[in-house]
Order: sequence, then C-alpha cells, then structure tokens
Amino acid sequence: MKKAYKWAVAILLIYTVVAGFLLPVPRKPILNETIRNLHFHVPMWFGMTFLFTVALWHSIRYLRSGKDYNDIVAREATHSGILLGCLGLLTGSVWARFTWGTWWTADPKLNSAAAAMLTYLAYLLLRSSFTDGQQRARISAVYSVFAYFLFIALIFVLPRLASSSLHPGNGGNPGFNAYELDSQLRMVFYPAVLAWAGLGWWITELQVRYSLLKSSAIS
Amino acid sequence: MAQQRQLLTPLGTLWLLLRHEVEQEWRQKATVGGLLLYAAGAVFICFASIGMQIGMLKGPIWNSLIWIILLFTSLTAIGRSFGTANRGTQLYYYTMVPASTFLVAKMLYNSLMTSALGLLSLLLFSLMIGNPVSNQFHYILTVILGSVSLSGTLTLIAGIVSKASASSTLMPVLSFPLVLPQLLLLIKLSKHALDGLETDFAAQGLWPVLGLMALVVALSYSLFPYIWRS
Repeated sequence: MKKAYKWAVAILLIYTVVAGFLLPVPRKPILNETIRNLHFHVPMWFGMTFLFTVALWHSIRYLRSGKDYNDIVAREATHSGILLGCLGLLTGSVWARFTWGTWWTADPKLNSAAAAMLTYLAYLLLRSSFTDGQQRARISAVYSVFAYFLFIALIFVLPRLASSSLHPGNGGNPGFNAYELDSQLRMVFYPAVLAWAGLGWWITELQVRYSLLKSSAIS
Repeated sequence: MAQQRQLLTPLGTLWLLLRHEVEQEWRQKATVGGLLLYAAGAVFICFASIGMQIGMLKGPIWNSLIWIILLFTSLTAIGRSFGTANRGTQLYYYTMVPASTFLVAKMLYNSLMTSALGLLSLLLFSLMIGNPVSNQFHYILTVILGSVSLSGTLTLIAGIVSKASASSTLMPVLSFPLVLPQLLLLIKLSKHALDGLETDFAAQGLWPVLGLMALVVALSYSLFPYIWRS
C-alpha cells in the first residue's frame, strides 16, 4: 500500500511533465505556450498549501499530545512546503518574464506570496533559537498554528480584496476557471495537483523517517 | 489570599491585573518616557528627512509613513511586555491567574499603550509634517483600531519571543510578515478616511480589519496557554 502511492506519484509526475509539455493546449493571445505553466506553478502552490496544512494538523496534535513524532512531521512538512513554495515562486517568475515582461512586479498576489514565504522562513529562524528541545517544539507549534491562519489570510483573502491585479484569476483577469471548460488542460492539471502534492508528502515522509532513525541511533 | 481569590470574578481578576500593569509601568517612568521619546524622535526623523517642509508630503506617502512609525513604535513597546517580570514573579502569576486572563490583561494594556502612542504620533505628525486628512474622526478611529489589532498579533509574538533564547532580531523577523495582512488592510482603511470616502470606509474597509482582528485575538486566546505553560 505504501509502495503503491509512490508508484502512483512517480507515474503521475512523469505524466505531468510529458503530457504537460507535449499535449496540445488552447491558443490564447499573450499566453501562447506559457499556459503550460498551469501544470507546474499552480499545483506547486497547491502542494505547498497542502503541506502547510499537514504542518498545522501535526502542530495541533503536538500541542495536545506532546509526542515528538508530531513535532518532527510538522517541521519536515514545513521544510518541504517551503521547497515547493520556492519552486512556485521560480516558475511564476519565469512565466511573468515571458508574459508580463518582468521577473517580478508590485502586484498584490506576488507580495502576498513573498510575505508568506517570509512567514515560514521566520519559522525556521524561530526553531533555531531554542536550546531546549521540548520548549522549541511547543513554541514552534504555537507559532505554526498562528502563522497558518495569517498565511491563509495573506494568500486567499487579501489578493481578492485588492482592487487591481495582473495575476490570472484576480482583478478581472481570467483565471483557471475561464479555461476550465477546456478538457485538454483539465486532463493534465488535476493529475498534476495530485503529483506535486504527492511528491511533497513523499519528501516529507523520507525526511521524517530519516530524523526518527537518527534520533533512535543517538539514544 | 485563597479567600480573596474566591471572591474575584474573572472580570475582577482582569481589572486587578490591568491596574497592576499600569501601576508597575507608572513606577518605572523611564520606560514610558522612553517610548514617548521614541515616537517623537521617529516623527522628527521623518520631518528632518523630508527637508523640514510642512505640508510637503501628500496623501498616500503621508499615510504609509505614519503607519510605519506606528508599527515600529508598537513593536518596541510590545516587544518588552513579557521581559519585565523576573522568573519568581512570573511563577507567582502562573499559580494565581489563568493564562487566558493574563493574556487578555496584557493585550488590553498593550492596546491602551499603543493607542496612546499612536495618537501622540498622529498629533506630532500633524504638527510637524501637516495633516491632509479629510475625515479626522475616521482617521483617529482607524489609528485606535489599528493599535488594538496590531497589539493582538504582537502580544502573542512577544510571548513567543520571550521564551526563545534572547535574540533582538527575532521579534521584528517574526512580526513583519505576520502583521503585513493587518497593516495593508489598515492602510487601505485609513486611505478611505484620508480621502473622506465615508461609504467606502464603512462598507469595504472596516469589516476585513475587524474580521482579522477577531481572528487574531481568538487564536492568541486559545494558543497562549501553551506558551505560558513552559
């Protein structure tokens, strides 16, 4: 069963990359071939949100139970969430270069994304500034829960309140919903969401097992 | 003491804590004076750096500058709110009052203090740099609302930082990204007050600010006991 999901993720990832680059896509002005980024940039952010939600869940569990395992999962999920977030920023930036003509611009959605990354980078700094392990775990869990809800406000609420935005899906620009009727895109997009979230969880799981092994070797 | 504890309602405890906090602050006038000077100094730096010309700053820049000053003043004021009591006193509080009451008292006190500092900054700002605001009442309301809602976030972060091995950069590093949503909404709200757009102020700006404030306070209220325990 455990192996099965890894096979599934591997196959889905290969499918995402091959089909995402080779299958025909709708021709839109300005977007042209860059519409393929839908299969990379967007699912990476979805995967990041999924991993931060895992971190939230395990942080709450840690506060209730105090088990080291929950702390380790919360930490590693945050790490891989940051990894996917960086990849999301990177793919978004490259996309922006070819559609907007600039790597980065003052846009509500972009600024929110940057602030969200800062929030979770601050989590890493917070973790490193404790000497006592239990204290670190508890306070970091508190921060993680607090940060998650403000992260949601940043990513999902603030850009929608903004009056103007260049980003697809905001400020009158067509988002994915406008293309949703296009079954060609859907055929790759939905598997891609599963693939990137699955990859994130796979990395997390490996890191968790590695950490558990390391701590059992020490004790 | 045990008898006295029974007599106190939660609200009574809150009032007692709040009064105690104010008294303690009053005893150490240097810190209050320091904060007042901090706010005044920050405003003066702004005044000096725009070339000491009254009425030169217009609309949006005036607005964002004052919010940056308010943010930094609140950060400095609240950053030390858990550092003042020594270990023994903290243990005493821990045994005497529930964590949530303690947090609410701290938050209320911090809100009062930052509101006072915010209004003072606004006053000094208006005197030195000028005041282009169309709806003064709404602007003052926004400053107070902003101080209260920033206190909500910053008080919990101060609690978090107080448990970490002291690092002076930790407080701002944790706070900046977390207060950003609030700050942006507040700047938007105060911009409506600045432009005198009454309907926009009430209909668009106010509810997100109040909603986020409620969220932050509820989160702090439920999370603080875990910080307190360690």
